[in-house]
This record gives sequence, structure tokens and C-alpha cells, in this order.
Amino acid sequence: MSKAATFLKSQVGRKIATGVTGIGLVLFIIVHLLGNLAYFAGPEAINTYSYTLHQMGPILWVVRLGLLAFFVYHVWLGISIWLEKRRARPEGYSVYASRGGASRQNWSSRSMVVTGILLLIFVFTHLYTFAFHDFATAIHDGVEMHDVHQRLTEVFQNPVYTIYYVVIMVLLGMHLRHGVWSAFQSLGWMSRKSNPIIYSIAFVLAVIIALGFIGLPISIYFGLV
Amino acid sequence: MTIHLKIWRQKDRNTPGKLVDYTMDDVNPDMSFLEMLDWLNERLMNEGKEPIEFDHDCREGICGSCNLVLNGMAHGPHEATAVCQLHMRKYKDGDTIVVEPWRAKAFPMIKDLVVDRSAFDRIMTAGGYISINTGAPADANALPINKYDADLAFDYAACIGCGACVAACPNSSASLFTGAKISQLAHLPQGNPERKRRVVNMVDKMAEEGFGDCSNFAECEAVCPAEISITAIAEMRREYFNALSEIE
Amino acid sequence: MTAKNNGILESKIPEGSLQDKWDNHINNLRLVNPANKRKFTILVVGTGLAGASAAASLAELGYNVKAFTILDSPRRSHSIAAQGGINAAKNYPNDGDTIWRLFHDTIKGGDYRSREANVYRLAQVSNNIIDQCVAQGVPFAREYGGLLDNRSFGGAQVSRTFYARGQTGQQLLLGAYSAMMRQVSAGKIEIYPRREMLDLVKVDDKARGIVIRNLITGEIERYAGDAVLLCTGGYGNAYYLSTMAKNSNATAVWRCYKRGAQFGNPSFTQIHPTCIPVSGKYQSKLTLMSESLRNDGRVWVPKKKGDNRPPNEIPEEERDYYLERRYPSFGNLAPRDVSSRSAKYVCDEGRGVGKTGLAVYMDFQDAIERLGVDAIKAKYGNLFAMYEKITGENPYNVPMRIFPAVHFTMGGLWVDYNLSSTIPGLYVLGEANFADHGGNRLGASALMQGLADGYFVIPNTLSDYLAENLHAEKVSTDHEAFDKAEKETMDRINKLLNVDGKKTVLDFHRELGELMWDHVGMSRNKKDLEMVIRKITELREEFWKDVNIPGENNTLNKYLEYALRVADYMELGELMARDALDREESCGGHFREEHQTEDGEAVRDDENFSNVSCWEYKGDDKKPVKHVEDLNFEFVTPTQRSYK
Repeated sequence: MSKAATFLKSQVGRKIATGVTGIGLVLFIIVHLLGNLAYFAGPEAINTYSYTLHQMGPILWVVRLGLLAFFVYHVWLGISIWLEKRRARPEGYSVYASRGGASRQNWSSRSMVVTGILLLIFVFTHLYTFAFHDFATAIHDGVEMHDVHQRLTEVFQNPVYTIYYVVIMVLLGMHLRHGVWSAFQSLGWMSRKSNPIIYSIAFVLAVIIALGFIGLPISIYFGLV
Repeated sequence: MTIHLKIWRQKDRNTPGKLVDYTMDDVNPDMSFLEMLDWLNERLMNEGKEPIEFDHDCREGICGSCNLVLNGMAHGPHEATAVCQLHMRKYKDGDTIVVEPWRAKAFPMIKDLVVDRSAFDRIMTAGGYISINTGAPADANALPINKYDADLAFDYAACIGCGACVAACPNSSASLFTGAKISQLAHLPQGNPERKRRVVNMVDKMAEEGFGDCSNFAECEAVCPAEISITAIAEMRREYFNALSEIE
Repeated sequence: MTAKNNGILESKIPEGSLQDKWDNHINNLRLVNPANKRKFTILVVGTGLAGASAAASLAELGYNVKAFTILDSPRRSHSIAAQGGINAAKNYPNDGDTIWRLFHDTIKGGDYRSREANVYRLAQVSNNIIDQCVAQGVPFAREYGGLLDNRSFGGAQVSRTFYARGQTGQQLLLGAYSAMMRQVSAGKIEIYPRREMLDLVKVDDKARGIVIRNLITGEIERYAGDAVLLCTGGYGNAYYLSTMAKNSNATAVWRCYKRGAQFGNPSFTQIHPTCIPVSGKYQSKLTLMSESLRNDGRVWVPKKKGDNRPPNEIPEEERDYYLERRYPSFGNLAPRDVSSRSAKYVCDEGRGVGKTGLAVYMDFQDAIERLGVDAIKAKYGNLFAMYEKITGENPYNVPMRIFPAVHFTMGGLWVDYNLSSTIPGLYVLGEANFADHGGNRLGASALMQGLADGYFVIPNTLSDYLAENLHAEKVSTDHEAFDKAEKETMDRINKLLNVDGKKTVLDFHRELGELMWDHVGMSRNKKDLEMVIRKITELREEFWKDVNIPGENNTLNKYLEYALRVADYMELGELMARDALDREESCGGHFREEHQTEDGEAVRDDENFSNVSCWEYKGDDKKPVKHVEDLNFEFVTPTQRSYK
């Protein structure tokens, strides 16, 4: 086996890989969020943003494929770690409780595999709803492009989809609440001093990202924009 | 005071175990938890019943023998305390305590509350040492070590090898135990020559023994009687990454 | 009955000046060449500091080592619990320490009941121990400059104690353990955990094997070897309550005694003055509070008998700071034996404190006022926290309650300068032997001795014996001596299981402990010792008629293990009492009430007792025979210790 394969199969390597792919996905999510915010600047802004992305051609595909690879790998690692965990304790405790204190066990960390799988399902529905859907055409400065603004407005007037989206974004926040801090720990970027600081920053970041994503559908649904 | 106990009884590895109820009416608040078990065992023997097996030795919190999960928490509810140092005054009259052994595939059951922790010794065998023969090493003061690193190395070296980290970890990971030894030796110049080989071998051994992956729950740090920080695990990962050249 | 030495107790002290003895000796010892080392198997019983360091060092040399421990891992051996530190004559602080001074302090601290040559060698190799441990990665305390820190300890005027916070024993043991695990990985050591040695196998009067009980399956296992190293620690648990770990026991040592190894100074036990007192019948063991606390704590009891007021309500003029009163020059830092005895006296007078009346106060109020809470916290924080964990009282506000407890046994199997017992091929290392501490051990010397024996003495001296036996026929475990030993062991186990009596092992152990503590403890007299010998004999008879052992042999059965140990403690306890009765003097930890000055100080009898009492087993129904090794002081002059 090559060095890379051995490394990636080891317990530490898997965790480092989870952290690296996780950070990659978080960076994507941040870019995606910033893109979403263009909605608030009006139809021209968001449609042009989407159009510009599509004009990037091969680079866009490279990014997309890279993202897909990160995503699939991240999911696979998460699930395999979860399977491993079940194997490592065949007989569980009759009573189990967290000691608290230094422990990072909470709803967020204990549900990583669940929130992760729900996010996976969401990604499929999300792609179906937006990426693979037919768009109306908008014309800005004489250029024809997808009317993303119109599609967003239409989707988020549906209460069911809006609620679904909001719930998933809360779950995303939970996933990141543990995931972002955890990535730093996994990559070894941690000391006794920085640990609580990074843990707090991760919490703030998770809240900002979740609120950022939730802001758009809520605003559309309640007609705030 | 009265304490209700539900204690895991299991004849051997191949016989299924179960929780058995015992009520202790004459618990003295100054008793340690293990002394209460001694007391119960004496009663059981006087009643002609088989006493409960549990591991214990120094009863000072340093040998790492005792290993009980009380109401779901390794070593019970108090931080920085091995269960042998837990006293009954911390409980209230009428409390119920569920007593279980460490549970992990890598710690096979022996009897009742006793499990086999030799996997830890095998992890140590994989590299938890500095290769120096008995003989005439250089003078102890020939190699100054800055106090920061020396103190940090001590923090990691304080591990008592009890296995609470594994028991409390939802994944049954041995990362805190392994990380502590790797990080101790990584902070000492003496540990430098074998630094890379050590981390690779010990990490591999840990997986081979059947411990789970670490998911950064940090429950291990919360239950560790020696208060070892999960920074040990972060350091182990750094060391592993830096040891890429040694991986085969 | 005292027999003539008959040349059995040949101490083999080498010729030459004190400084040259060890070097001369090494030069004269025979060697085994590397190719032949592979042919030898060494059985190491016990894996504490002495056992682990010996196993690692011998395996490094090329011998095949089998190491046995009653615990689930060698790392849990009770050496791990030593708190204070380890002495060495490095003289890093430049305060005038030398090998001679360390030697002199140790032999004086032992009240001149140890061998000059042994103690000098101990001081000589002390420096190598520190070097060795540092090279292994033991994180000793360091100063900001990066160099090793030292602190002072009882019985010395220099700072020569190396330490690793309050966990020096742990760190040294883990160092030796890791050296051992390295040899496990090299295939030179095999570790046998959860195994208890129940007999020694002799062939042609030489130690050639051991019989072991597998504590998990109950099976009896046989191991043959070319030499047996006994590193099984002390026998303080004969007192029931002690600071020893629950599994520490005397069985291996006692079985070897019964196979012909002589027992040296069995009555020499150290009672440590600062332990947390007993709180009730359920008490299972005692916890030591480091001696270092006496640097700042003032020991006192109320002047009035039965004064039940809380300590803070007892005014200054109604307190008796008895150590400061009796020993103005040493005060609260009087040596261990003296401090312990004084505590006993005030409690005997009815001035003891706490619920049981068996405790004295150690008060930090003055130190807190003088230095501030923070300074006290920095020095003793972890000890105070431990005290609070165990007692539920906060020593920053209320004085600690302390009482003496059995802590270390200076006695043990007799060994010569090579650490060989009277059975050829049976070597005894660490606390299990009688050797280097005489009548009283100084603080921070036990770790030093365990590691000196294992790292530096035995690798040299063992080769001499093995070279002599290079062509000896190998003994297999099929040998009839193994059959016999195994059968005797099984018979003993079966006999115990079949008693089917009413009393638990704990009942017997507690009874024995009470007898031992009350009459073979801090203060002993002829009448009581004679009574104890009689009572123990009765107790032993009762034990074999009325003990109740639960469960079966073929599974983990801690109370069966325990019963086998208690059976041996009862025999050993009797020997301890016999030795105490025989030694008509007061020295070190051995205080005979008949031999004291008017104001209660110990009186040594160098004319008649400047020697080691060695007891030879003659049969269960016969009295043991005493042999004597005379101690010759060529280089130091024994003086009366005075701490006034």
C-alpha cells in the first residue's frame, strides 16, 4: 500500500481527512452564503452572480467535482467512523451519562452522523430544487441569464419547503457547532489555551452561518424583501 | 444511610451478565465507594453467596486498577477522582447507583466488574519507550530541558492507565491514553530520535487492538482522574502528520 | 534458640576501602559471554521498581526473562504510590553533598543496623539512577534554567531529593516499565500478569523454578529457570491496615522462607507519622500524607484529657505542641519513628482527637498567616485536596487530623552483598530484602534502593552465579520437584476451600492486624509479645477450622487469593513478634519499652545487638532458629541518635 493510503486508513489519518474535507465544505458553505446574500441586493445582483459563476466553464466543473469528492469522502468517513464505533463496543451500558466539565458531548456532537445524513438528503433535494430545475429567463444589461431570483422567490413562498429548509439549516448549525471546532482538534491545531477560544469561535460561526441561511427564506416567506 | 445498588454480575466472558439489586442499609458517609463494596461482599459471604469481583489495589488514585462506571460515568460523578477516592458522603440517603464495568471490545470481560486491559500494555510495547539501555547515559543535567516542556511532559506523563478514557468515550477510543504517552515523549529531547516511528507504531497498534476512532467528544478529558487534556490527542495527530515519511 | 552462624550467613563483603569495594567486586565477578546469556532464563517475580528495572536490564544484556505480576499490568505495582522523591548524591545545589554524606545519613538514619558496604554502594550508584531515569524520559521537576531541581527531606541537611511533583514513584515506575515493554517488543521479556507465586522449586538445593497460580483460571502453572529474582515488596499488610496496596503481600517471600531462605530482622517495620486516621471498622487501607507537610504544619493535641471542643475553639495556651516541647531542636521535623511514638503516647494519655481519639492535629494556621494561603496552596495544594477528598474537611480552615500508620518494612529475606538469599539462585531485591535501611528508613531512600538493586547491582552479581552454573543441567517443569511443589500448593488451596467455616477472611485479618498493631507496632514489650505469639497461634488454628472461602478455585476468586495471603501473614506475624521479643534493645522502628531512658527515648544495645537476626524455618510445629550476622563498623562510629 502506498504511504497515502496507509495514512488515510489510519485512525489519525481518517480524522485528519475528515477535518480537511470538513473545512473545505465549510469554506464552500461560506461562499454559498455570501452568494445567497446577493438576493437582498435585488434580482440583478443574484442573477448576475449566478451567471458569472456559470461562465467560468471548466474551472466551475473542477470546483464542482472537487466539492463532490470532498463531500462524498466526508460522508463516507463519518459513516465508517460511526460503524467502527458500534463495533468497538458490542455490549453497551445500561446507563450512560456525560460527566460534563471538559466534555464536548452535547446534542450537536452526539448527533453528527444523524445531522450529517439529513444534510446529505437535503443536498440531493436542494440540487433537485435549484440546480436541476428549469429556470425562467431574465435579461440584465442585455444578457440572457437564469432568473434565479424568481426561482428563489417562488420556492420560498411554499411553507412546507421553507420550514424544511429552516429546519435543515438549524441542523447544519448544529453540525458545524461541533464540526468546526472538531476540525481544528483533528488537525492538531489546538492547545490547552486555545481550546476554549476555538470552541467559542466555532459556536459563533455556526450560529452566523445558520442564521445567514435562515434569513433568506424567512425574509421571502414573510415578504420582508 | 441507605444506598440502592444495581451491580453488573457476569460469571465469565461467555455467559451473559445482568444487573443485580442490592440494598445497603448501613452505609457510613465516611466510607469510600470501594469500602462499601467490601462491606457488601462481607455480607454476601456471610449469607453464603458469591462476592462481587472488582479490580482495586492502591486505593489512593494512582495505580489505575479500579474501574467502575457509576450511573453511566466512568469513576463516578466527581472530576479528577478515581473511584477508589470517591466517598459515600457525596451521595444522598436513598440514592440508587448503577455499577457497571468498563465496556469496550478491546477490554474483554473477565468476571463481574473485572475486565482485561492488557491492550494498553500492548500499545506501550509498540513504542511507548525511549530506547536506552541501562548503563552509563550522559549526566542527567547534560541536557537542559526548558521548564515549559518539562512541565507539559509531566502533565501527559501523569496518566494512570486506568482506561476511563476508553470507557467513557462513546466510540471506545484509546486516543487519550495513546496520545498522552506520545505527547510526553515528544516534549522531551530524549524522545526525539524515535519520535516518528513511535507515533506511527502506537497509532497503528491502537486500531489493531480494536479501539474505536476518536470523534473529539472530549468525554475522556472530563472523566480522566489525572486530568489529562485532549490537547494530547491534538498533539498525537500533529506528530502523526509529521511522521508521514516513516509510514510504509 | 540461637544457632551459630555456621558460615551460612556469608555476607561476601568485598575487600578494600569502602570507596573501592564495589569496583573491586565487579572486577572479580565472573562474566557470561553474550552467546551464553541467551541460554539462561531468569524468573522475575514482581514488577515494581526493583522487578521492572531488573527485568529490563537483564533482558538488555541478552538473558531471557519471564516476569510475573499479581496485577493486571506491571505498571500498577505499588512502587507507583511513592510520593516524595528519590535521593542521589549529585550535589547539583552545591550544598556540600557527597557520596559519603548520603552513605552516612542513610546508615545513621537506619540506627546502625545495616551493612556499611551495602549502604555505601547504594550511595555510589544513586547518581547513575538519576542519569538513567532522565534518559528514559522521566519528567523530574526542573528549574527555569532547564536543570533538575532538588528539595530537602527528613534526616538530611542537604537538598538531594529529586522529585516529580508528588508522584515520583509513579514516574520512576513508568520509566522502568517502559524499559521493560521495550524488551517485551524485542522478544526478550515475557510478561505474565495476574499470576501469583505460591511456591519456590528447588533442585539440588538451588532455586530452579516457581509454581504460580493463574488468578483468572485458578490453574497452577510451572516455570523453570536458571535463577529466581524475588522483587515482591514489603509485608506491611500483616498489620491489616497499612499504606500498602490491597494486593501487596508476603506470600512469595514467606514461601521462600519456608523453602529455606532466611528471614532478616522481621520485626523492623516503619510506622509513618503522618497518615490520615482510621474512621471506622469498614476502613480498608490508610493513606499517607507526605512527610514534607511537617515543614509547615505544627503538630498538637489539647492539654486537657477528653477535650471535645472543635480545634479552633481551643485557645493557644491550652494546646500542647508536644514535638516542639520534647524535641526543641528538631521540633515538628523529628524523624519518623520518634514522631510516631510521640503521637501514640499522647493518644494513650487520652488526649487524642477526633471521633476515635486516635489522631493528633497538624495545624497550618501559623504557616498560612506567615506565608499566605497562596503560598501554602502552591506547596501542598494537591495534598490538601487529597485530604479533603478523603475526610471531607478543608485543611485550610481546620487542622488536619493525622495518625501514624504502617508504611514500610525494613526487614525481609536475608541477602548477601550480591543480593543472594541463603538459597543459591534465589535473589531478593528491593523492599523484599532486609538489606540497606537497617532499623529505620529515611525518606526518599526506598525508590533509590529498589532501582539500585534492579538497574545496577543484580546485572553484575547475577552473572557470577550463572557463570558458575554455565554447565549445570537444565531443569524441566516435568521434574519431580515441580510435581511435589504443585501438589503441596493444590493441597493447601483445597484444604482452604474445604474448611467451610463461619468467619470471613477479613475477620481473621482484622483480628491479626489488631494484635500486631497494638503489640508489635510502635512500642513493644516482653509480656505483650509473648501474649501475641500465643494468640496468633490460636488464631491460626481457628483460621484453618473456621474460615469461610466463597466460590471455587477455577475462576477469578479474590477472597481465595486473599485467604492464602492471610494464612501466610499469620505465620509471618508470629515470626515478627518472635524477632521483636528476641531483640532486647530499642533501635530505629523497633522500640522495646524495657529499653528506654527516663524520658522515653530509645536505648540501643550495640554490644549485644549490632547484628542482623536471621531466622531459619524448621517446620510448622517447630520454633525457627536464629542465626546472626554481625555488623562490623570499620568506617563509621555508631552514636546514639539525639533530636533534643
